[in-house]
Amino acid sequence: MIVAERKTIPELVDILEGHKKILVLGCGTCVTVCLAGGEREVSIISSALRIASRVKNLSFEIEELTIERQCDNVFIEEAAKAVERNDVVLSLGCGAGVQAIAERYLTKPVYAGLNTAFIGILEERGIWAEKCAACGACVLDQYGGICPVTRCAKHMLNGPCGGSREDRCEVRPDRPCGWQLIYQRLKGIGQLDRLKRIVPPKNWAPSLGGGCRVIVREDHRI
Amino acid sequence: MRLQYPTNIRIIRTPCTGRLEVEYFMKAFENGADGVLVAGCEEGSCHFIEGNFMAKRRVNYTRRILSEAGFEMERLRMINIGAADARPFVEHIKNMIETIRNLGPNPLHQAGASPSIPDAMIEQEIQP
Repeated sequence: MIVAERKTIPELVDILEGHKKILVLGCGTCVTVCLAGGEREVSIISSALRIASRVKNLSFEIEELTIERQCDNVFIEEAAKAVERNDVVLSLGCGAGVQAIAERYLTKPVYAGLNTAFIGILEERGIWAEKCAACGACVLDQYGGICPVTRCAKHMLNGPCGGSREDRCEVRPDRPCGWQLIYQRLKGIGQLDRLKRIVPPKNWAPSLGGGCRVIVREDHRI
Repeated sequence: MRLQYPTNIRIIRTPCTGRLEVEYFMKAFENGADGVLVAGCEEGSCHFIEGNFMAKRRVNYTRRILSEAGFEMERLRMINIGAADARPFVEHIKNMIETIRNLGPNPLHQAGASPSIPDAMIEQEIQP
């Protein structure tokens, strides 16, 4: 899922200052699961903004709404009336959600209430970790399902770097060495021989180079 | 024991402090509460194992958000106290009242907030 975290209240106040009627719009998908922008967070952030507004003598009038998915026009439609009623939208969706709302409502300012961080999973209660960089050319099949692009601080495809201590990464000692994990995993599934191959430089073209990435499926086009 | 504690508090019972959510505290202050004192069981004696630790973390998180919003976080406090500890209970209440008195009334209340906690949520507890 996409993992995000909320901006601080002073940051949000800064963004919203000068506006009156504000729709705080949550998203019921990824950001609900990572406890950043679901119905509950909409309620908490709205309360905090109302409190900040009264303390600082601003005149926020806040409406709360959470839709199933902000990155999908079908669900965005459900917010149409609420968007209409308000001057601006503070979206608690991921970056894709914010942009989808902005593209849908051309005359309405839409602001991001979250910082979208990465694609990851819940490792343990209250801890989310990055697992995928969406590099566009997946190499997980070669590394036993452990991604060297995200799990190794140096993104090494021919690791390990040799700097790890015990099983800890030398760049981030609070995290396990990605290559230690790859070794253990390949050993576990009997594919250690994969490490004998020298992997050529990765094709980074499908990654962030070349602007906005687009996938076209002719079979689904109308 | 017939101990007296200040009458200007209202007791809201919950099955466990672990039931308390960040939204509850936020709404209480939005509705004009001058202070909220969360009284959880002593650490290590939660009937639900970790309810009071959950409450502690939520109280701390709420204090951070309140402070970010420019609201005095001292108005929210958590204590750990046994069900039979009448004397410390009274002391904690007095102490909290003192803190609130020094801070003054909830600034949101002055700005026009009306205390609107539904009566059904409030139960008067038997005096210790």
